[in-house]
Amino acid sequence: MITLHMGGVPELAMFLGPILLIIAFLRIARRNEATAGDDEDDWDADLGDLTPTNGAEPASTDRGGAVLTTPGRSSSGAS
Amino acid sequence: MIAMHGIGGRGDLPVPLWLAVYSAAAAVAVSFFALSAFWSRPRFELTAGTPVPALTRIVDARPTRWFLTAVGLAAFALLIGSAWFGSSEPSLNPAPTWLYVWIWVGIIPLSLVFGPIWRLANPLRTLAAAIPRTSYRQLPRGIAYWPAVAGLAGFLWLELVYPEGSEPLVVAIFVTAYAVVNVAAGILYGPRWFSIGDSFEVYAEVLAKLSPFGRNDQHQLVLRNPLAGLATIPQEPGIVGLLCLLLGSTAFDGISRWSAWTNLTGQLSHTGHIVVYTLGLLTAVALVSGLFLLAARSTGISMVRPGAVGNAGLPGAFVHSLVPIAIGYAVAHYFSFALFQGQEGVLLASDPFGRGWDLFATNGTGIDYAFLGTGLIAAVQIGAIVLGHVLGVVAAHDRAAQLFRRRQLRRAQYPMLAAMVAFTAGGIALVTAS
Repeated sequence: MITLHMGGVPELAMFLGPILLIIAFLRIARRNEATAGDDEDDWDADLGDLTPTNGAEPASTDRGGAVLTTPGRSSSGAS
Repeated sequence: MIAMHGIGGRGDLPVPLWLAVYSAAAAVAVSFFALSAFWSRPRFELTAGTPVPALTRIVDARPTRWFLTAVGLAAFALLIGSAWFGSSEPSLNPAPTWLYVWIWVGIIPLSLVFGPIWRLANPLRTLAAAIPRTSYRQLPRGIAYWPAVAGLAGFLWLELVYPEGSEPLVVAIFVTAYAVVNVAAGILYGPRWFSIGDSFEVYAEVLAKLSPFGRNDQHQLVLRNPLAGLATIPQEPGIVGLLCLLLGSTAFDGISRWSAWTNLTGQLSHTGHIVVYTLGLLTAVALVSGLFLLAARSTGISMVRPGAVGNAGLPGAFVHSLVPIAIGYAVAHYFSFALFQGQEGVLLASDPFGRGWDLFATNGTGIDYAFLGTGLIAAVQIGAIVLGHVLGVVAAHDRAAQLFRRRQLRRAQYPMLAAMVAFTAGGIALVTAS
């Protein structure tokens, strides 16, 4: 362990590890973006729709309460 | 003056400072790219909590409400009584410790664990409600949350700038003035005032959004994903101002503890100290606000879904991501301070009015500094900042997935990622560099 530290191996791993992870995730993200067809876009540019999927409920619950109520969206008073 | 924070030094870190800063920033960047790879649809916006009817009945029961109201009033009476009538020595009077540690720091775990509980015990609400009125004035348009920002700015100025901020008399004057203003406004504008004007309640409610407990439309308590609760924070300019003020003031707090800063300002006169520290605080808040606003608005280069942005534009859409970051900074700054100085609050509570009492038989007992190692403090500080930023990145990404087309999602967020990485690196440097 001491030898490893003397050679700076853990430090090198801490330095290079995130860079390699980022490269890997970036490749996956690019591949996903390339394979996603136009029909997979989530919303209609004219209407602003965001279609719920997988049986998800509309964004109406969990927003009740009497505080932090404002006229903006996401603001109907969740507490 | 009470030393406000006990921050671990550079020597407490298990790795070199540059590596700690790099690793923390890298953790945020890796989280972002992992989200880009595997998370392309919004999840939190569509998530409902699970109702907990039994807990709702207990919390909403009249005895519970009375108990919380009584606790709030008793705590307020003790605070203001000891501040006015206790010892004039800050080290012998519990009021400064109660205000700056128990209330200001304690509000964080209280709200995160129990959710929106502060307003149930808020003594200022109770006092205002004691004056019955049949009608209230309308709140001026566009005022939402700005009174709370102003009150918070005053409190932070007192804590970070004013040299005698921990004198019991100063605490007494501040608490009294704050209470009078808020109770008067509460009588005039009704209970709604406290939701938008009482700094401590607004702060507590913002923190409570990250709690696993919340209320649904039927006012039932629900158990929820805390990040789904966070996504319901109002998109209002005042909330953006509040969080930028919190982050900026924490940044200034760290800078004002650097030896370079104290060497420069140590010889200043009283007035000079106030002027320089005020300018420092304003500059830090302006820098943090500028960076966040620039990053949030830069995401708008991509096409934004129509109708998805609220009153505060893109900064408002992303402001909720600052909450875990602000909590991370707060934990990093106050963790050791709260655990050490918080003990002082208990010891001084034995004699709150300086009458020589020893109610809790704590005479001769001192603060136990040994139970917390410096290594643990440093680990908690860095862990809190990194976790806060990673949660911030997750929250921002989920909102971006709602705002932007899937193909633009990653690129649209690069400015926000840059800001998050800068906040992380800056935060680590602030709490660890000396």
